[in-house]
Amino acid sequence: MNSDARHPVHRVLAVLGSLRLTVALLGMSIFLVFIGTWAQKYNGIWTVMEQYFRCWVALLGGWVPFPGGKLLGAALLVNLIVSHASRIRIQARGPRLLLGLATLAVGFALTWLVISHVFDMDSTQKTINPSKRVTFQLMQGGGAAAVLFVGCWLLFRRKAGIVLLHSGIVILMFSELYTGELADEGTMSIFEGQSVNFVEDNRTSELAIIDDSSPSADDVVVVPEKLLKRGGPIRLEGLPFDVEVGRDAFYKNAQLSPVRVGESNPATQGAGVRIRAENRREEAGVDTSGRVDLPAAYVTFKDRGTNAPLGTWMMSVRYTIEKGAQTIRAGSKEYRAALRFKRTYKPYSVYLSQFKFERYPGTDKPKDYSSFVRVDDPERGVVRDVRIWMNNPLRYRGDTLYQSSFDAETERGTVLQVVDNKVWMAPYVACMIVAVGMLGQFLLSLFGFIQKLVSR
Amino acid sequence: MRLLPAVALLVAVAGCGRQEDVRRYKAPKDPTWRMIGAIVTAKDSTWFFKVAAPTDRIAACQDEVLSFLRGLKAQESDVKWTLPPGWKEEQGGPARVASFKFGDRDPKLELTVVKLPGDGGGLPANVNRWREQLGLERAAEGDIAASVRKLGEAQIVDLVGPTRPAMGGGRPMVRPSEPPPGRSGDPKLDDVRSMFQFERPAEWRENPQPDKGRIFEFQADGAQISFTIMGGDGGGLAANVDRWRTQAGLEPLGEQGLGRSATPMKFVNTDAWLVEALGKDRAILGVIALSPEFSMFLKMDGPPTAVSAQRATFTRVAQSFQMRGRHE
Repeated sequence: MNSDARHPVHRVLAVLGSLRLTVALLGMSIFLVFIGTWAQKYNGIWTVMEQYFRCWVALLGGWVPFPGGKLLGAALLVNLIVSHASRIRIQARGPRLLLGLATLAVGFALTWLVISHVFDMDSTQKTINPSKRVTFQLMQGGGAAAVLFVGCWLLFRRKAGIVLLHSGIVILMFSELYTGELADEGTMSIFEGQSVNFVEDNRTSELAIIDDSSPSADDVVVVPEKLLKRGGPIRLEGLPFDVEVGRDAFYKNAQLSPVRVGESNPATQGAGVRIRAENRREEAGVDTSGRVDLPAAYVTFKDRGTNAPLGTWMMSVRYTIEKGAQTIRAGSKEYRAALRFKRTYKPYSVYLSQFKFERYPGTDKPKDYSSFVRVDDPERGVVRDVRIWMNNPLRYRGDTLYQSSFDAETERGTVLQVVDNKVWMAPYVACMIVAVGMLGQFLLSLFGFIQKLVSR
Repeated sequence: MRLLPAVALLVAVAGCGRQEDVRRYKAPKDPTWRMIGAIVTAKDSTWFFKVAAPTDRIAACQDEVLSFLRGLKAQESDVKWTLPPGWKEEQGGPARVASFKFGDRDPKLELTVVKLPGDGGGLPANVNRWREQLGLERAAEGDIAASVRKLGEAQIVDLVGPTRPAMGGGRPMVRPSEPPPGRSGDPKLDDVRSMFQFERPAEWRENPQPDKGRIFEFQADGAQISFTIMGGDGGGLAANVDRWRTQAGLEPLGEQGLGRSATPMKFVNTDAWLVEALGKDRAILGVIALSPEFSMFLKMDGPPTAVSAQRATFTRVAQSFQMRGRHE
């Protein structure tokens, strides 16, 4: 029995960094991926992501607790770091150590520059061939990885490749964590001649109460979908009323139909007096039609002072899209209220001059979709005409605007996917680091082998 | 000490996440759509001029649009105009007399001209149709006059609303999981059919595969009976009555003639109109139930003798129409 095993801290470290734990965690991850994939037969892909992967504890089948994706990912990360920290020792001393540390520092800086530099690139000024762009990104990652490998070789000698490739995996895991937690994604739907300055995330909704009495800007209070789903009273600071969503009165996906005579109707005000919302199964993740869920809810507005109900409204994303917001009257003041897709405002607006959908002659086969847009950024004084088309996104102010879809009925409206992900370069860099690490490890072993042969 | 990075990592991972609280913020005004419409009455016909676009774009061209509309002159059954400089006339589509392109940036604004017989459905119905296209509530008939002003010979309606004008209001660019009931190409026709119950007379033969857009279809004595649902108000009562009258070879009567051509009744427990258009060679007997969101049409169409023979049965069927409760 060695001295490490006797010390309680080392005993914990031994467990945390053990290969058995790695295998167990990987096994559980594979099982979770299987269950999550199966669940997409019944639920939408984003519901599955939230319920199984972007959570600490997943409830399999709705009730069996199991480590969620976040917990498994964090445990694997800890396992990886502890196992390396406890098994791999720095082999360098003196000037070599200093040189190794300095090279690693340069490598880290380069890696960071590569990850953070490209998102600053303003592609409104550049047109880059998409295949060349990806190659260029991989080359950038490869360069940083090569410097990191040299640093690792100076410090860890024959285990340099192993350290480097696992570092790449760590970067990959962190980038997914960042993307899941902090990256924003949504769509801009713009008709020709229209200017839009917000993106809508059609994976989730929000209840917006808007005071539009000021001529310059709207005063908006938004309640996120999670709170609406949870139900119960919700306090709205700054408004003369609060809202309450009844138990099971929020539908992730709803269909609208005329109110049938003789039926009980929860709505007492607004469109809900004539139209009822009925719960409908979510669009399954395996569905390839690309349909989206359109949520609805029955929301009761209550006077803050007296707690007396002002009425119950049927709020529906579909109704909002087709008819706009509904009116809520509190005292002498009117507010507009709407259940809508979650909205994020941008500091710039995008004006669609033209949407072009070209087909191969004599067929309906799509050849090219292009949006000719004008980016208007009053803050930076930028007004620029840009073409966005397939595989040629616009990168502007940290956002990437892709050509995603279009209005099939008129072919005069475009849908741009807008992704705000500061670390979108990280997976490219991580892959190159893993590749360089593997190649480096192979070469180190090969050289070691050749050296042995020569010395014999 | 070696545990420190792992612990720090766990804390960092646990600490990050999205805020899911009620938020309050100032937001730029929502984009709005503006429509300037003009109605000019000529002999035996009514002309409709309309331009709709984002509010800021109309504002930039407002003066030239109003100047153009001020210059409209009715001459017998025609309307004459003078094009402002820079405007380009284009050939009208099947339903248009003409359309004009203008404006300083792409896409150009488009002003369309449509001519309808008689009063074209009347001022209130058309103003309300335009209001609904912009996502505005229908205005009471008494309030219509206040939203109309005279400019030369034209009656001008200037509206601002939240949705892009299109037939039946705005449309989602996303693909919804469920289209409104009855919309053509509806893959869930059986679901919509199962929502209704009504008496099915033995002599009516049902077509199990009704024409596109129809929910039910029957044949009886050479007359065809169909049931249709449309999103929106379907164009208004007067426009639909006159459409049926024209199909039956009769003169349109417009809003003022509604009292003579339509009788109020109940259909699917909502207010509806029984409309009768008895032409020489063709007769139409129908029920129209309109609401801002969905409109229902039960229609019998055929030779006058067949329609007269089935009149009583048709009325009985119309009165029996119900929507099934949710429990069924």
